[in-house]
Amino acid sequence: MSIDPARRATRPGPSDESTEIFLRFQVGEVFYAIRAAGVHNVLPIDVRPIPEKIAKNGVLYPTVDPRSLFRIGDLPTEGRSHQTDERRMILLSAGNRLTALIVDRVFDRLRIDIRRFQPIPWHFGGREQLWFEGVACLDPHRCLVLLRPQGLLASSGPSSLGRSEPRHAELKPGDPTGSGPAALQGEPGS
Amino acid sequence: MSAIRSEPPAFVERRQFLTFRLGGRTRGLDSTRIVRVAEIHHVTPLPSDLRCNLGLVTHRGVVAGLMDLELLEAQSTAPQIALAENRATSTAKGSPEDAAETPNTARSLDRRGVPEGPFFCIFARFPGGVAGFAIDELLQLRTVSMSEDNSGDPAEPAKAAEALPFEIVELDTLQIFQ
Repeated sequence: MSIDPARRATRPGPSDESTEIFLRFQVGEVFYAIRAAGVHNVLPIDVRPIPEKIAKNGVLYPTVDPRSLFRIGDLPTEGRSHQTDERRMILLSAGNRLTALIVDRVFDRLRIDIRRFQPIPWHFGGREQLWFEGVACLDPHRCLVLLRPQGLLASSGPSSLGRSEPRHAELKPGDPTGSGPAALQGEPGS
Repeated sequence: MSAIRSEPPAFVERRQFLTFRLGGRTRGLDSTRIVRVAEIHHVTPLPSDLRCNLGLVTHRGVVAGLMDLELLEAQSTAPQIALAENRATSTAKGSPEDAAETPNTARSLDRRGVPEGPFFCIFARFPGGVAGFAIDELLQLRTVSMSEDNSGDPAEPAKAAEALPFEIVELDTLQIFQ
């Protein structure tokens, strides 16, 4: 799938069938996005260590820490720092499940043409096929990785046992779950 | 009187290789496998279960994957060891121990072995698709005559390869997934 460089990410505004609003955030050095439609709330992290579940408005959200899942090390836990102060938990629904996603920094909401996302490269064939739905190139050097919250849930914690997830997912405009049959594998220049 | 074998080899193939330096060795990749060579300025370190996967790079608006060719070759020649390393030490991507294992390279690498700053990247056709790998130095295109002797000696191709001034990168023998 080729990317049309004429299409740009924009602030939320008038929509068309192929655009969706995403919440952009950072974990480690990588910028990620999730569909804003599934986000319930974004909260500062005021308890440490982070508990396994967060209660909000009488609802329990199991926490998922991508830093742990992606094995990219943890931020300093002793004392306060600029980095730890910016950490947030994104309360969201993923399919029929709830989760609190722990992230380093939350940026903004962006309206992005879903066609700008392409599947992750073919040789990323481990659990990352579950975690990441696609990747888009929003500026000349940086990539935006679209997270699949259901995949993170499937990979973290005993509650995922016995559940199956698709190995690939097809990106469809308007599909909030991002699940589907096998997707094409992109080649540069194709 | 002993017979002198004077007939030419049955088949002479001329192949073109792009040569480059990687990890202190001179390597050559069949030019027919090359999609493009580009200078890359930034790597997005996409998490992966496989240590040979370094991240994502963009070139002219297209996203492609970046692999560590040396790790991939090591994993292909000793898959059981590499698989065990993938499982047991993937946390070591960011550890000082991992940095100590960084191959002999002229590239600037961060603590996970991901190239930093501008570096040359060769995008090539692997059996599974196109992917890029970082190199230390781009050398030149070399045309080589590869003779295929019909004497039946299975050592002939190996001897011919040994005579080359570079080591051929054999993409078809690389195993990304065990």
